[in-house]
Amino acid sequence: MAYQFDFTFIPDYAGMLAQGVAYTVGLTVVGGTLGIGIGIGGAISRLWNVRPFGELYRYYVELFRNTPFLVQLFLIFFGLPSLGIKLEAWQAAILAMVLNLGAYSTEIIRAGLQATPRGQLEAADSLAFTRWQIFLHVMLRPALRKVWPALSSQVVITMLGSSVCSQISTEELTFVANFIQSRNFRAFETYFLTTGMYFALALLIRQTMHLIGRYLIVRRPSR
Amino acid sequence: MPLVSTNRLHKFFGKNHVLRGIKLDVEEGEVVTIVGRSGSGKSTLLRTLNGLESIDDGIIEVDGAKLEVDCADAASLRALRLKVGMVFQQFNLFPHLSAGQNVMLAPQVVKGTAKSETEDIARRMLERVGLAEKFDAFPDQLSGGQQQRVAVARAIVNDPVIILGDEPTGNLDSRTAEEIMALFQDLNSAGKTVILVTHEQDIAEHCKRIIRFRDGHIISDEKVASPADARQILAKMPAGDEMVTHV
Amino acid sequence: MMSFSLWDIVRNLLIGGALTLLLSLVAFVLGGATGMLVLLARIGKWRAPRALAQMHIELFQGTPLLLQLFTLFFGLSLFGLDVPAWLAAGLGLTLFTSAFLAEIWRGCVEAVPRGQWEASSCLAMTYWEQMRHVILPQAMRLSIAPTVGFAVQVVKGTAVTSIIGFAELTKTGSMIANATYQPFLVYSLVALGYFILCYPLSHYAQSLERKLHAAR
Repeated sequence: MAYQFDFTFIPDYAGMLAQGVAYTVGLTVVGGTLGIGIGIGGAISRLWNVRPFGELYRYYVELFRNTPFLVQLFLIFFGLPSLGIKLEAWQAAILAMVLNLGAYSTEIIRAGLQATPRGQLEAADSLAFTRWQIFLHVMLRPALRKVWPALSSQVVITMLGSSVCSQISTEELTFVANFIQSRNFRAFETYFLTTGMYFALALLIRQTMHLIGRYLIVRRPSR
Repeated sequence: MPLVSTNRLHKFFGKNHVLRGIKLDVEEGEVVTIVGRSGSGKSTLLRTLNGLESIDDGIIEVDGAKLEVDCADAASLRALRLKVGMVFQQFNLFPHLSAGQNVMLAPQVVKGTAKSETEDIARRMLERVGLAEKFDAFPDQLSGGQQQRVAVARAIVNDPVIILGDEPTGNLDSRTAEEIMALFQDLNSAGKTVILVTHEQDIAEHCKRIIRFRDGHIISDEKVASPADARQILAKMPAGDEMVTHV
Repeated sequence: MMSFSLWDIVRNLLIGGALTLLLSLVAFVLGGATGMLVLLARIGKWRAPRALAQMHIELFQGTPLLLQLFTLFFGLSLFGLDVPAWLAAGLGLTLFTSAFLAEIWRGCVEAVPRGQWEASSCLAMTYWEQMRHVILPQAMRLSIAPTVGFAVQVVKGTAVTSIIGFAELTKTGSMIANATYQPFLVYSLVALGYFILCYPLSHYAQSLERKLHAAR
């Protein structure tokens, strides 16, 4: 094959790539935090069937889990303005990520809460805990601990999925890659490199989630 | 020449030295019970006898089939396993197969016997353990005792010379346990050598020889003349090795 | 400017939807077959295929589908191949699907209790005999629900192929939205189309899951 691979463009665009990475990480951190927050709220509403949230959450979860993220993004960015809601690209991207992750984490966390052993609920009841006290002190932490690996995977999936935000000109990593390859005409090398960067980011986020899980959720009293 | 013979047998689980130079000979026709507290290595010893656990040093010989360190090639392992049947505490029946199919699988797959013939064999085996009518039942439709009977039928289908039992009655109530033990005795009368691991006193009383195991060593090895004799031997167990007695 | 009636919009979306369905089926079937090979390599005894299979799984699970498609699309054209969008889409999704299914199925194989391996070992079965007669039949039963569940991800994944120009449902939707200036209506209909394809699968996967749990 006569083709010569050429990665010499990297130094010229290193700064842009770094900005793209930072943007993607930013989207993931905000989306991940708010998404898991929505998930906790959703899980508890679904579990206790809080009116009307339990029912609303059910529709929301089914709707967002059964449609592609890209279409959700387009509907928010291109569709909402005709209802008078005009969002910047980055706002639309974050909103879509939060709503998408929120739907998945609702179901993941709900499964964790449901797995609370009945005996523990009865023990808490017999100690006259209120429902909220039971939730906060007996159910939430063990549930999160149980589903943390699944939740971490979902955050990674959301981060990887955010690459399609380039389609609404959010200046994240894939957007940067598209820009670079339009300048250097080295499409394969550019996308290959970017794919590798996503792979590294996925590892980094998985590791970070692992550490968060270890220090925030699994923390036990020191002996 | 003994039927089963191990020499200088060593096994490590990481840093844990679970078998420390075991020398054991078992003659044809014996019923041997190995007792000892959990973690003493008795189960591990049993599992090395058909290659479920590899060994780190020493040699195992079963009716002419040899197992050595680093020498567990597929052919010798297969030869060994055809001579040794195994019954587990958890029964380990294949849940997707009926009782009959559980028994038929090995002759069909391993020995390549024709299906019609294996069906006859399986019916005979199930009859032998008193479950002929359960041929088409699936494991989850059988009681624990019935499952263990099927497991015994499955274990003898390759016509092994030795039957190993790893706490075979550990999941059964005392009456069912007696029935399973009677089954092992039948097999012994029919010429099979039986080696059992247990921590239940009433099971140990059925055997002809009791080996006590502790921290990877054999600490005693005595012939048993009668159940009373067995009780006496078991009574000498050091503190912490107490046996469980069924009420 | 052309004017579009609602029926014009729906009719065009239906054509796009049919292509989405077709691409999903192709990716799922070919991805399933490839995934089975990857699985066998991943759980097999030979070291090199096992490492390769693991790499395949980690690469495709650890990078964005969009970038996989871009890399494949431009990578193949390095060989002087003029890759049509449908080919890149089909190939990319097949590889993507194979990695996820192989990993899902590996989990099912590992969920078969160790006692099943031991009992079949004791009967002098070889590794492949154990796999074929004891382990895979049980793993298969466990795998139906998550496999159907993953089919939903495949259908949704096809939307990304719109970006490399494959005229499936989302791409068709974008084109119509641009032509009609009715993005909210059009994208809502597009979302509805995906929902109609995905919801029954999700629902079926969940009921299978419940049945499996009840059976234990």
